Amino acid sequence: MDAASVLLGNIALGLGTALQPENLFYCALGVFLGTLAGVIPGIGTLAAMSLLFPLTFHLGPTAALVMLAGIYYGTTYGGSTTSILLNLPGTPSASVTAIDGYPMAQTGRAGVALFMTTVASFVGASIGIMLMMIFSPAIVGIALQFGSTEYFSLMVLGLVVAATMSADSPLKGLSAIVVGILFGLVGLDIYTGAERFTFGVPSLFDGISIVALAMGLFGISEIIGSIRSGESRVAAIEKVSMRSMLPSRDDVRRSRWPLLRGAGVGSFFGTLPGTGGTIASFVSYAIEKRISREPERFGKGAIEGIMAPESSNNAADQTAFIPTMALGIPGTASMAMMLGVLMIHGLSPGPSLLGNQPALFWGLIMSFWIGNLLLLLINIPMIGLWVRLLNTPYNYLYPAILVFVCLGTYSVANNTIDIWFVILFGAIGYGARLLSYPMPPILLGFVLGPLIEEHFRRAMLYSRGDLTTFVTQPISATFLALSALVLMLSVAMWLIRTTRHAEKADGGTAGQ
Amino acid sequence: MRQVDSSSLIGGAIMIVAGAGVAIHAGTQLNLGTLQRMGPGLFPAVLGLMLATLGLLTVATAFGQARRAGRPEYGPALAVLGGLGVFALTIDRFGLLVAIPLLVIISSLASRRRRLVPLVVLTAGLCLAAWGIFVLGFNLPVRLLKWDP
Repeated sequence: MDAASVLLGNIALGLGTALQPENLFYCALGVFLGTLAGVIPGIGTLAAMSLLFPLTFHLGPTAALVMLAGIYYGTTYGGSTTSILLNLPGTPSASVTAIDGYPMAQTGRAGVALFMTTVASFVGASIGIMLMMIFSPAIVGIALQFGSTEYFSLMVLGLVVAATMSADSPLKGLSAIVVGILFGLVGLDIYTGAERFTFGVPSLFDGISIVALAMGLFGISEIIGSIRSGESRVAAIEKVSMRSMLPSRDDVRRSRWPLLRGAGVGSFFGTLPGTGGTIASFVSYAIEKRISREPERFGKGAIEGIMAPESSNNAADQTAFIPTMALGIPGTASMAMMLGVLMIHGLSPGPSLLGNQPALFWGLIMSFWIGNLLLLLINIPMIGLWVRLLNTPYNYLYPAILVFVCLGTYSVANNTIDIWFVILFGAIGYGARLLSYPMPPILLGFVLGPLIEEHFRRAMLYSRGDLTTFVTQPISATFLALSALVLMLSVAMWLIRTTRHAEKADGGTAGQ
Repeated sequence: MRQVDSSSLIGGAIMIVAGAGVAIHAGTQLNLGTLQRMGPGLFPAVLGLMLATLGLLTVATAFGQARRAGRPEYGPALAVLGGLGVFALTIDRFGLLVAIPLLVIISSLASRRRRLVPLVVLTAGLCLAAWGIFVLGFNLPVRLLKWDP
């Protein structure tokens, strides 16, 4: 069989799975809830995913993944709506869209901006999905050759990149990773059965619940931080009619290339650990402005300035699944949550997943198409509804969210102990926020922690306790060298940045 | 005058204490084993030392930076975390129809805009939705009302 017919077979298998009524329903529910969460400022992608995470416990693994993925890419669609209409990005990855989207809305072109970003999102996501379909099997083929030594080094690379990308200070990013790994080690040791950091609490023997950790870190801390700021929000929005959405011929002509360039940039950044849609959208905006013949139009409602970042962040959302599903190594906290769903349902993530669970793997990919199509259908006619939803006062919204947090957490094990852990992690998350420690690396470390320890121990067993095995094996050595390079570069850049800051600050006080 | 980044100072100090605590606990309470046959304590002990080192470096680099730690908002934090705690304490003893209203009322204390009628409507709606989704939909074994202090 040639590659094309294999791919066609996989597409058929995936469509068969994704179109099952149950999966279709949860895909629709996921993208709907995702858009809703994206529209509401103060609930980001991670908060939405962790708040709705407990619902997926009651579903089968495929439906659970499909729904959580729908929430994930749905928020990116919804986030751009508030960027354009309110100059208030619903999600960080939509913040660039506000630069030109809001001026468009101010000059009465909100409809065009909303319509075109939806199109850009769909095209970007579609290109990302196609790349995933082509590259995942190839990457799985390579990854199946990896042993524990290679896996350990690859995970180190992923964690180092994620840590240094997500924080102002690489020291704080790395600290967050280590804290996350340590949380991940709580429970019974898989080799010896020894209790580690359980303090005699029986419910900790299986480890800390990922639901409680994610919900507390991302959901609760975000609510605490937004209560006061959410109140000052004033929404005054004109009505957006279907007619006002039609782009002019000039709009379409200007959009074509930024759309494709954005998708390319986004697809690349999506596969890197710790970067994701936010950085992808910033970079593609910068590229468009740089190569434009009329850079002065940017910031004043240039349609290129919304097309490129929106296509970029949606492409990145999809290609982020490549390392997650093909290698079992998530690059971002959202992807770590997707792996969490797999593990909760007893499936081990990694390159063997594609061979063992082809229906799940291809079903998930095909559900992306369906989900993005549904988003197109949900978004364009329902923009009016989303606009009205923006006016929901936060002071009624957050108690409602808290009720669902409690019941969702309670419903996982019919036990209140996890609610106490939500409180603990909520407090930790709020503290981390105040001290500007990044939280996504904590979740990333938490999910990868047990795996990284297992691979390290196995590698040590094979090499008879010889640590040099990590640098004498060529593939592993390459990963570690790259990690060291990333680490040195980020430390150097950070030092330059902070000393420049300090000089400026010193100069400021000297002048007074 | 030299500036100090209080977020790095406090954060670094917390990491030093946490890292040292983990390393000491793992080193004394758990078997370290050898590199070839690692015990359950070795990996956490090394990570604890790493965390403490990162904390030391964070503290050392805190000087000469302009950043400051965020100002904690105790009101919202207390109302949200306290509301969750009261829910956890009451759900198994008194049932949904006590736990949900208490959570809504306590967490609403954080908001500056409080009005009685919308709050009552919200509470009633949430009780109904919770019953519909979790009791009917997911068969969650939780009583609406009970008395078991």
